[in-house]
Amino acid sequence: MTDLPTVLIVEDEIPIRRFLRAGLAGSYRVVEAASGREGLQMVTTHNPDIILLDLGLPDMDGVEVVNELREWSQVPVLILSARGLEADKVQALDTGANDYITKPFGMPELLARVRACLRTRPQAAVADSPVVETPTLKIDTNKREVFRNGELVHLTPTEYRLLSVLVHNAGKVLTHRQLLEQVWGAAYIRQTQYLRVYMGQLRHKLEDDPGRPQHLITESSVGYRFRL
Amino acid sequence: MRNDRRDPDALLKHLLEEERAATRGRLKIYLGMAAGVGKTYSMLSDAIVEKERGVDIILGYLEPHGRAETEALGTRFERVPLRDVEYRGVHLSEVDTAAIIRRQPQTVLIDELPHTNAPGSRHAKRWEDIEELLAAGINVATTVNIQHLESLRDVVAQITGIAVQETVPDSFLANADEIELVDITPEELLQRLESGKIYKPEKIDGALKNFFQKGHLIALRELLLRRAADTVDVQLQSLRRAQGAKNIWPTTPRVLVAVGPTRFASKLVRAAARLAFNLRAELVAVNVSTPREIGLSPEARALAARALSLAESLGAETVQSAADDIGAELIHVAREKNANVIVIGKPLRLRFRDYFFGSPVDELIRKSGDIDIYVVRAEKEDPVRRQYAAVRQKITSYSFAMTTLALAIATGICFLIYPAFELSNLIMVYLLGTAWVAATYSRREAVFAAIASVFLFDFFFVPPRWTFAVSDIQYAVTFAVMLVIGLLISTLTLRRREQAHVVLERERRTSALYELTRRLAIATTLDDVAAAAERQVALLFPAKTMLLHPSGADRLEPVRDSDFHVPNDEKGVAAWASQHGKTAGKGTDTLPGANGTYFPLNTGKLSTAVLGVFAEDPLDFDQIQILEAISHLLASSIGRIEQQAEAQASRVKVEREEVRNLLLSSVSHDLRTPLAAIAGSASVVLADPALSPGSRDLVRDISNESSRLGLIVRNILDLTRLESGDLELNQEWQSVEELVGIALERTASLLGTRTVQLHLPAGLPLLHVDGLLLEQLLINLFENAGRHTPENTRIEVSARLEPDWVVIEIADNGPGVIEGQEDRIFERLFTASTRAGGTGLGLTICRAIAEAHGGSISASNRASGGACFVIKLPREKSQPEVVHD
Repeated sequence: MTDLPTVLIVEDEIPIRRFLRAGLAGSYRVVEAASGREGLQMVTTHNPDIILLDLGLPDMDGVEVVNELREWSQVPVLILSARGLEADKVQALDTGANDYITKPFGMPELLARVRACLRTRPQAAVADSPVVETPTLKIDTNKREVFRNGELVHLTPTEYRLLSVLVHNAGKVLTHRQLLEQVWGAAYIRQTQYLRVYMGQLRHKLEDDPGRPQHLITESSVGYRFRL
Repeated sequence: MRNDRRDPDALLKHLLEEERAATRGRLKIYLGMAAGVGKTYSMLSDAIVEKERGVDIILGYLEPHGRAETEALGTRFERVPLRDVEYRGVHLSEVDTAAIIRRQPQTVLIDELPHTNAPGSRHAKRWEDIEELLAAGINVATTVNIQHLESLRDVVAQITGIAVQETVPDSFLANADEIELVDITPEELLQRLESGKIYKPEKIDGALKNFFQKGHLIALRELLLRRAADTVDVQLQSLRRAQGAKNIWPTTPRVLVAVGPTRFASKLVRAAARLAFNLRAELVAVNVSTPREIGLSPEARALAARALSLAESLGAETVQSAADDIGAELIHVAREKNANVIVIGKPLRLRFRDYFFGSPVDELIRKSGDIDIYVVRAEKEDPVRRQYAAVRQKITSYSFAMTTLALAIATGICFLIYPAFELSNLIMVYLLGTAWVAATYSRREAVFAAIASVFLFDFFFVPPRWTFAVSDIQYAVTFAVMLVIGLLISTLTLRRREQAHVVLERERRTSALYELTRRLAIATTLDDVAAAAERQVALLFPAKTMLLHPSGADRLEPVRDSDFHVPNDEKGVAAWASQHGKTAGKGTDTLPGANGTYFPLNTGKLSTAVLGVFAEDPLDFDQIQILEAISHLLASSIGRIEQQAEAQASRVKVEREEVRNLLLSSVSHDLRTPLAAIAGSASVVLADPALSPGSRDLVRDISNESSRLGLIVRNILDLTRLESGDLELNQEWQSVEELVGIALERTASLLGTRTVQLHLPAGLPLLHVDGLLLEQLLINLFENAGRHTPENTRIEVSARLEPDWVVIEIADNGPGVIEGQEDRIFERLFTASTRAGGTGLGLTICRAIAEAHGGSISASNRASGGACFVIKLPREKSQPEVVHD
């Protein structure tokens, strides 16, 4: 039992907490907190492997929880949030949360997200191998070469930089701000048109159907994600 | 040293000029000495050169002199048709300023600058039309002869003996960007005249005898050349001053001209304007009204007002002041205005007292110090008669009866004391009576009392008594002294009373203005302002006032209901005043034919409220000045009220929005949380392999129905938010392909086996839209397609560009829209079929989203069957910058 990863649920709604516990029970050890304060305390006492954090807590703002947490812990945080509150999500992600899931969600979807989050934990970043492969793409970060269906694809330097940032964080959502800052620089954090244009170009070069991308996924009003 | 730095006044003036020039059209004036020198011909030839260079030049007016060469040139331009004005049965053609402004050419040519428009035109003078065109940013070229310059009018009349009626203010010429001198020698001009090039043969003789005498022409030419040289000089000076050149007057010199209620005043102003021009000085015109002038007739007072407005039109600053001592006041104003020259008229004849005390002119010269005094000779004119108006008309039979009574009492007293006192003491009693009459009534009664006293005294008391005979010559002195004292006292009394009247009048104005200020300070609505204005103006003049305020689509409407109405054509005058920020209507130069005078209340907005004043007689200069002052008060009050109203409205709006947002988010949280719990719990139960098939179906129903309920909740909340009216769009640059991609991913399970074909051309521009809302729009349309079309059909998504729109089409192969309901399906709660299970809000939301972005959505049936939804979104004129590798 002790080898099971620990999930900390910080959520004030009892019915939601209950079904989360039921859904996670088999594969995770579950601890629960009903407020932000309590949650932060339980991080120190239970040392969880992942935190599921509701943004609408009674005592403090979810973004504040992430902010305080990040001062001393790098434990992955998965945000649970309703649709329409994209600005809060983006803020939480920029503050250091790892991913988000929009309510209402089904259990299979949540489990997949939790697994992805645990995979990308910093210490478990062994997946950082120089070559990333999907059924159609092969990205060799050492040689800086990208192949689609076995054919070498020519990318411009910026396109490659954008792709490599996304691939490096494969599975994880990156906010517009994070991408713009890493690829173009801090002066560009509001110039989302760059992302629209360059993501479009990348999709046309790498996706079989650019209108329905399989790898370069748009997270509406939040950012982008590279799906393996 | 101080000459080293730039004069800030001059610099500011130069800057203002430059700024004005930046938005104004350029004015070019072709200046000649007389008709026939070829001004129009030069203007047209120059314009043809410009036109060939591609400048958009049209012809606004060409004087039909019947000169063939000129007419031929004129045919090469587009002409704006003239406006037909009917005046007393005669059809007159005037420049159609409004039509030219609508046409917006780069340059318009307008012949005959000094023309006076037909009565009923928007402006009295053509140069005012041109002023409006320039203000509208249109370049104007025009022609004028030197004799039409306002300040040269008298000089020209002296030279040629012909007084020109149509004049142009000098300032208009001074503000021209370019002056083209059209000069030929008098000989050449005469030759042209004789060969019939200028006038028709039958008129040549008359012209030669009158205006076109060689002597006249030479003099006019000299005037022209001198004025042209001076203008160039002035422009050079202004440039040098702005550039901080040395050896220039450190401050702008000013010439002050004193105008009084005489017919000579206008001539004096023109003379002073010429002097000012030659000295490169600014002109200040002053009218000092003295208590004596209270007795003047309105016509006489109007002379001074007319001279002041003439001065204003010549570009002068005008000052109206009141004092006892004209000379001292002139010096005072001159010092205040920094004037170094005072121009006054020479009095025609010296008055009696001037021989003893010196004339006002002498006094002025004595006090002037370092100010130069120019005395201009007046011409013989009819003196302006003092008409005893107002104060002096109170001579009644009552006052004479009282005078008689006073004399009777004095006589009675004298009889009583006669036995005991000397005769000289009796004189004192009569003197007292006369003094009382003089102090109480007017001069006429005083004179009557003085003379009657003399006779009564003589008749009753001077020996020989009971006759008018006088035995001793010494009594002649007594009589004379009595008469003089009576007159003196009455004059003094009169002057005191007049002063009191002036003070009272001033007091009345001041208190009316003060009362207005007080009422305006507590006014909280436009209605209060209008009421205060109506009341206080009525106290000042016998006039009705009405406050007009722009309501809605730039229409001016009265703020308060009133028993009298502004006719509709008057509203045009009010609108003009409102838009141009200038006083218009009766008593002004603009649309003087109107019934009312309209004062714009400038609150810094584009179109402003207007104060309409309706008086029987045209308002005089004084009254217009007071009303303008009142307008300033009203304007600042209206500005304050509007600002308060706006602040209040925005505060209410913000509060309302806060409450609504709070409510919406709490409702949305309260509805969504249980739904999320239901859906999540169902998904956990479904994962249980031990579930019986029957239970599995039930749990799946729970899951499906809860997500459907979630959708309904979302739709209702979205619609509430969208229809609240003040939804803030979070606009960012979005790509069509990406938005369609997200919507398709979200609706993938609902679309199931239906295939979606995308036809999105490469190079579609980015849209500046709210990403989440646009996604929602597309999701709703895909959901709609999924719900209303059979499985395995095809949905086609395409996009194309139109000049102003980016158009996205979503077409399906379903049953289509019922004929005639293409528009109704976007209405709230309209559902085409119950089977489909929609909320009837999806398409309503689509339309609200499209319209919130300034776009539209429509539905139609395809020829091949199926429905087609067309979304039009504004195509941004410029795309954001993206630097490529």
